[in-house]
Amino acid sequence: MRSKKKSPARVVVISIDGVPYSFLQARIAAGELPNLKKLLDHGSLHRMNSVQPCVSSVAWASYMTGKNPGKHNIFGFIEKKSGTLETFVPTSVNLTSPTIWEIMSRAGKKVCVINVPGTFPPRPVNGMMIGCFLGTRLESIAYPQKVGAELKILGYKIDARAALARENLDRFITECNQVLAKRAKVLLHYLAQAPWDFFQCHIMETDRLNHFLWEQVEKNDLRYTRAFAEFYQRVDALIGAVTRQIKPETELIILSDHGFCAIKKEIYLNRYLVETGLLKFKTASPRYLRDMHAEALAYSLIPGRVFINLRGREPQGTVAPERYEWAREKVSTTLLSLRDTDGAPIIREVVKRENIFHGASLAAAADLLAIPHDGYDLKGDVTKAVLGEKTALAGMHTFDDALFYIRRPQVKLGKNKFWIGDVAPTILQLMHLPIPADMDGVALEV
Amino acid sequence: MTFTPRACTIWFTGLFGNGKSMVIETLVPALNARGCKSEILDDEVVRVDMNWDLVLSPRQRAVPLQQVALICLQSPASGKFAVFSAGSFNATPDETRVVCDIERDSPHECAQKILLKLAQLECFAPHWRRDRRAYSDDEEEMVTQRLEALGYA
Repeated sequence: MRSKKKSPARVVVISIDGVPYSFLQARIAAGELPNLKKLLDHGSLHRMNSVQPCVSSVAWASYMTGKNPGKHNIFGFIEKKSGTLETFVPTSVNLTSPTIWEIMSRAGKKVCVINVPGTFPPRPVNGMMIGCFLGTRLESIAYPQKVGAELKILGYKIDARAALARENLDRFITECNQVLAKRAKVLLHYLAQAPWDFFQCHIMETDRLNHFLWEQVEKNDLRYTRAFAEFYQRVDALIGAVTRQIKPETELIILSDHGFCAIKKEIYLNRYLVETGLLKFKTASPRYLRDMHAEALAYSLIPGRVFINLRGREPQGTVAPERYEWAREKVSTTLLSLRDTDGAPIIREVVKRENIFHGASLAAAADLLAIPHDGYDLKGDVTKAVLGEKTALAGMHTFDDALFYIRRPQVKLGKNKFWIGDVAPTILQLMHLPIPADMDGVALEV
Repeated sequence: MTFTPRACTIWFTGLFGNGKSMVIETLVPALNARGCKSEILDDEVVRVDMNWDLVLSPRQRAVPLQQVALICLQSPASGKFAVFSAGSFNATPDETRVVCDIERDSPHECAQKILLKLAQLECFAPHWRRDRRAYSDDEEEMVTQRLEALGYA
């Protein structure tokens, strides 16, 4: 479906990480976010599905490619090296599909992209790209590299320090506000100064604050509710400033990648696999996955990704290929019987990889994905001696409560459930660019 | 973007005339059909090409084979399959896995077993090097700690 506008649109995207649709609706209705309320008068806000596993690196990879993880090759923030039990941090280097801004660049469009998760190291574009929090230094965070020097002058901060939240929440909130202020400065600077047909700035601090304050805010803890509300009002003010700076005919999209809920417990799946006899380690106090015993049947990587110890694939694999399906059934059944101390079920569903992913990277996906009930945050730590616990983390991601706003009153959602992979073809359509045939997402009728 | 197929070295060892070349004749077209580049290295050909005197002692004969073996071990990194036929030479590298038995299986069965093993090793799809790195060890440690603080690692 082609855009009804005659000329190709310029597009601005403001992505607000981890802001739930339901939360934003409630805050707008309460009159706390006046700029967003004004935008609703001229556009439409929709609930959107994320992607499984529901983590930012995977969701934004699906956003920027319009594809499922089986095609773009990003399955989590931690991955294991092929044929080993050593882990590494996947980055843009491991993303195997072209992004929408690379497609735009090839079509001669100018792009300016700031801080979208999964964009470090920045891949070359026709324009500029400031990478995400996976980068460590301003010198290497941007393409072209000279932008890094400009960022230093502008006082840009890559990310707030999450470790600080575990020491002192008040100082962490202050730091999130400081990082947001610097991000806003850089956003408004390049929005005005850089040549662009497509502009995107990503606000990461929303996710950071939600991770450490969500439960307190849900419980109306007065020590934090005001600071939390004020932070979101600053985000709203920034969106207002962007709206005033762009022309009315410029397309404006605001979206998040997942919802949020309070954490009841963090659950250490590898501990559960040990307790049920499905995972063994060579030592009583394992520190790494490589301490795994060859007799193990399965092990897990965060979040809820379970690998069968398959012979021929795993370095110490002992499960024969002909017993692969048996092993998957055994592990699925065991995971589904996992209960909290009060008897509440922890795992909502266990899915086989081929039922949710497809594409050339399917073989790299975990054999099973355990999807928890909201409130149970699945971890892959091998050092824990307990099955579950509460830590400083207060919020976790949810799948079906991401948001999508477009400054157009009429949007027709497709027959299938709207998911984050539909955004890439929608943007390309707005810019009158061809949509690659291998995209899984479907453009909205706007 | 560079796609690097995951390749490996396929060794055929056994006495002269036991059917190694017949398996290779079946296998190589099947590899080509799957878009896999391959290089056949035959120890006899290597000897002739290098003008080696057939009266060399077994110890002397082993030298070029070791050199060929080294080349073979480097070949997977270049994305190319090395198909190595090596007469009675039995000194395959430690990590070699026995996939078929030329004495027992027909050439077709041998080729099928090898192809099956390669499929299990994810050799046939364009294989993105999933563990290519963007960091030094120190930087990766720093990023991992940040991710741990966020509960992402």
